[in-house]
Amino acid sequence: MSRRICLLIVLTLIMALTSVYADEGFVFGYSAPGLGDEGQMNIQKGFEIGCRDLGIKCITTNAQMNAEKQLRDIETLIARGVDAICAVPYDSKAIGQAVKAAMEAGIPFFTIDRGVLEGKVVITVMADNYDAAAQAGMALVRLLQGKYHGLAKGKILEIMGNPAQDVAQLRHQGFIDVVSQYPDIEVISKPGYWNTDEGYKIVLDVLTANPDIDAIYFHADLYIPGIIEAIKAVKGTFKKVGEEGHIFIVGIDGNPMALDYIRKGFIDGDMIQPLREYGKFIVPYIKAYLEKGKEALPKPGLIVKEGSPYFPAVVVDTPHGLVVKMKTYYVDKHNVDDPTLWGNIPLEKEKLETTK
Amino acid sequence: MEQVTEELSDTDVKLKRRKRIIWIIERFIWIVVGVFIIFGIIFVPGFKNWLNFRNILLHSSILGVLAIGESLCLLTGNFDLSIGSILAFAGILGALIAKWKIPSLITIIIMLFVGLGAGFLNGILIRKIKLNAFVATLITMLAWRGTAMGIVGGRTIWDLPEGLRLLGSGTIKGFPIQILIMLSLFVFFHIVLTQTKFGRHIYIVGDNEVAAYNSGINTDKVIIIVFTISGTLSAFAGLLMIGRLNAASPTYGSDILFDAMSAAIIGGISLHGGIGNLLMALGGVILLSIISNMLNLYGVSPYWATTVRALLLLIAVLLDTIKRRLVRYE
Repeated sequence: MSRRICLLIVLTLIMALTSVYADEGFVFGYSAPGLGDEGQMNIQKGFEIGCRDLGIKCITTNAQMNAEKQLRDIETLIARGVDAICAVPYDSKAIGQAVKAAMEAGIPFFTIDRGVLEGKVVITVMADNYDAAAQAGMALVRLLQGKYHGLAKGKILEIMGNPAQDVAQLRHQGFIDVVSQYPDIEVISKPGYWNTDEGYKIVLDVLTANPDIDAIYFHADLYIPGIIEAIKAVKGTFKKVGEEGHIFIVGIDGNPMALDYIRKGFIDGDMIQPLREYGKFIVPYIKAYLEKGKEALPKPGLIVKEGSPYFPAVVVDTPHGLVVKMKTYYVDKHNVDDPTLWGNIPLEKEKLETTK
Repeated sequence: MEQVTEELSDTDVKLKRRKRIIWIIERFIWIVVGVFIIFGIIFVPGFKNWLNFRNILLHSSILGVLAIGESLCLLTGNFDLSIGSILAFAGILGALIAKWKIPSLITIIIMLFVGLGAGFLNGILIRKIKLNAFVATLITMLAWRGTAMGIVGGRTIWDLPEGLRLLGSGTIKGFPIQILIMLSLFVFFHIVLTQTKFGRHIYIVGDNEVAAYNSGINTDKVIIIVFTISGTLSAFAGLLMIGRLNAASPTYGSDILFDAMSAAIIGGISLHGGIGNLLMALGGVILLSIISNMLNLYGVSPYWATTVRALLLLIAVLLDTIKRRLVRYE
């Protein structure tokens, strides 16, 4: 008798649990490559915000900069039976295996920030890194023209990311393609491997050997503190924007720290990446795709969204799935206080219900 | 009778020669450093400049402080993998505390005590809970960096108070304080290693732990103290790091462990413990710094930089094999 009661209780419990899951609607899985840096943290929060707005449950995993762990993370997400998976690939090639596994399980796969080099995903949404670098290059060319009375000349130090990654390659190529049109501009490129202290050492050494450096272009905001302190160490003082002897500093990301340094006149400008926008953009598409299928996907061409600086976004159909490239834009002291910049909106104000 | 004295003087000469060769071997890394400096002066534009030598020492300062702790651990025959993570954790903690407007001196003391505690924990895990040093410090390595990330959620803290930055970015008559600190720490720990009973115990424990234990040395205590020193120095390196960058992020020091270990090993400290000294480690640190400085100065394509670094390291290690040949010759 008691055994039967036990069985009954267990059964009701199981049913209750499953019905809770069924009631909650969609569950999305998010696989982060690592959450240690500002950029990835904001991309992940953006996805969380997107899910929250549509009442979708989100399970987040963190691969801790390990391609192999990311594969296991995604396998876990598949095993938990999520409705869709969105990942920021740590390794665009290695993730192909996970994409295949998800496809076999019938779970649609999406990526943010970086594409895949193997397999096919539904949508990849990323920033146009090449274009961001080209715009940063243009900004520096204009600053140099201002300094040399209309002549685009001078020496620029470029602090790269990890040259093995496509992001760093695009941020290098876009920049080089612009400044190489000006034969009097000399560029010294050094790999900083996304390491602040390495950036500090590069500026220290290169600036000591080339005291005539006019400008510094960096691939990510994390280099800023190292750049400023190294200039102080070499020159003895730091000349702010507008002062005689100032070294122009322009880069890519748009973190709160970068905006603060623009405001204080330490750096000249920054290309704003739509880090928190990716998730807000992609989540509705994932939901629509699950409900209506392929017709809900964006068509190759332009996506126009009035009032947003990250659009028009370019949609391209590639062998690895649809790629949406969002625009980036330049911010300097004139528009740094724009309240719509994500770097000006503290995460606390985004009213996240869950902080896992 | 005459023959005996002759033989004696012969062994005397041999002994003297042996001593001389050992003297050279112990300082061999500095010969390699010298070769690299000459190479740099001739071939690398911008190398021959007093300010550039200051830069090389600036490259060395944080790495050097960490290499001292790591070397002490290696001398006892143990690894400490957690140094970079303790650096990051102490740095984040210090930056956060400083934001609450707490006097810098107190912040620094708290940071150092956190490092001390973290090192002590490593020692306890290894000696009292009997975990393998590699495993124990692997766990604390993950734990400290993970906690640092958890506390700030991946954010960077910037714009630190002057007092906290003094040691990392201040100068005395134009000379960076961080270099003076690194060099004086080397001198201090070199004296501890060579002139004190504790220093001798480190060598004996590293050489043969069972024999050390049998001869009445408290081996647990020696190893726990060594790890505590390493943890404290790592936190101190964290203080230098956030001071010189005027910012703190949980990612700081994430690849410095490899450099600190290779500096010690290239310098000539044995992985099995008991052999080597801090001057060797300092030589290794300077050598690595010269290589990274040369790469920054020389017009190497960024895509080839890693390969060139490997080649330069290979040359350094090949020069080192001459040392081994000297040993065999003896």
